Amino acid sequence: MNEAAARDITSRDQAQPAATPVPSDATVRAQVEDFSFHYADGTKALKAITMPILDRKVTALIGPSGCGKSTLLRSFNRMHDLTPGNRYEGRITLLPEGTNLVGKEVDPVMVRLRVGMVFQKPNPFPKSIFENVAAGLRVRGVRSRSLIEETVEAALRRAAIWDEVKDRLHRPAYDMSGGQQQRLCIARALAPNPEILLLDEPTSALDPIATAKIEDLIQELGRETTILIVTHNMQQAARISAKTGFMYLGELVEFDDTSTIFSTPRDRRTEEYVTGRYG
Amino acid sequence: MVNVPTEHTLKSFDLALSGLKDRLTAMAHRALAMVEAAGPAFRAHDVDAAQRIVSADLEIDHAHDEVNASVLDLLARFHPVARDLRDAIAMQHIAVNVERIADHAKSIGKRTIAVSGPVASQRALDIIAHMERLVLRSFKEVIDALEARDAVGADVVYGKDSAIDQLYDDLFHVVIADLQQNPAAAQHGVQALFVGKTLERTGDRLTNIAEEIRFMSKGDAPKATREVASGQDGA
Repeated sequence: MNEAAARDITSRDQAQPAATPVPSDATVRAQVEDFSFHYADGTKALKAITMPILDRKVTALIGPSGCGKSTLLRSFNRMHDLTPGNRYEGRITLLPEGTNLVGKEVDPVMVRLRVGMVFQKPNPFPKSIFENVAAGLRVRGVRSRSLIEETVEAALRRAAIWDEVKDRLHRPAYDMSGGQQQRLCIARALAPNPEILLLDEPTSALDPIATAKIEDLIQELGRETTILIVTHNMQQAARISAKTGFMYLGELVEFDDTSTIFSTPRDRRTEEYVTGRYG
Repeated sequence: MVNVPTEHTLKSFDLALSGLKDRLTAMAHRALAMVEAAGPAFRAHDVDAAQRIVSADLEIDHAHDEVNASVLDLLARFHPVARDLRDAIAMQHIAVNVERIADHAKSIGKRTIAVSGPVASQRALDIIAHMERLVLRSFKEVIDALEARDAVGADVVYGKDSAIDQLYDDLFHVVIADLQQNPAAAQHGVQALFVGKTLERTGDRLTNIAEEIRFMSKGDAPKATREVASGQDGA
């Protein structure tokens, strides 16, 4: 295991504010291009979204309930394919090789192997802590016990939970607290080294202390992992993301540096929303 | 959503913001009254009025403390962002400038109390009176702009500051000429220059406030609106 993977990534002396302007030449890891999504009943939930997802940065999606932010997030790993009749238009292109994640020719199972996801409520498998993290590796055909052990430890360290579980790796995951379970789920998603990590309101079910730990974790992970997060907590988006997109009625109203969105947004609708004048 | 421009969903947030703004504008009106009284008190050598101005500065200091407390309360309880954050920060900066303007008026009052007999030549007093008029007009304009959150209204102050600077330069040359003619009037000349400089600094503070109002309204970062020209400061 390399030194970087072994360190405690939530160490406070390394915490940096995320909401600083992103250089204009930042690398794009995925490009959403003229992307729309239709539910099977014909409802058009997303309308011609275009936005970059920057490499090794945290990008936040905010907006009122029903605006389409979770729908967009879930398109990245083809979760909508689970309902027959749902339809994608446009492209979500993984760069630099150019795979269209929502292309009909692309196997959704393969997409999910490349794009990890963590949900609103912690959802560990009814297995041991170790097996929860190892599961994604086994699915990918990894059989080497030493490689699995090494990767599980690295993932648990990256998820800032190794010290809390290293002596009880084979205890049931359900014995952990909610915050620990969520960090375990993040470790599980990180273990296969996904190209993009999707977080769908990952702290909405957690108490403030567990939330703070997850926020620190996301901010640190954002240095080495491309993260797309949906959150209703605007202060959280302001704290942890480098880029923020405001969505409303299925449209991407504004996408900019997080510092701009929360200080001098350009669109009036964005300002009304972030300042609490909406609804 | 586009048609919901002013009110927060959280009504207590509106109350806190409007309370802060009310405290600041009340503080500004008090400081304006001090500036309005300071110039005439100096020119007429009205010691009683000057003492009232000096005493009034304590009220401004207290009002400044209240504005600071209101800003801290707003930040702590409501975590403002975007225009609300700009408003809170700008209002705190404006309060600092208003407090300094009141200090300037107090200084004129103290100078009025300290000086004896005629305070300056008529030519110098006329220039000071002209500076006062411009300063007062600018002060009223920035208060109106603050109440209306109006960047355009604030912008008009910039031009007046240049005129105030030019008048101070004129005052400097008039006082030098007076001293050359009558060296015995040195004390009065120095007092006149001091008062002129104080009004010139008040103009600078008003420009700072105008920039903060523009920041509140437009989101433009305050920037230098005045260019430094060599030999223009009269010092």
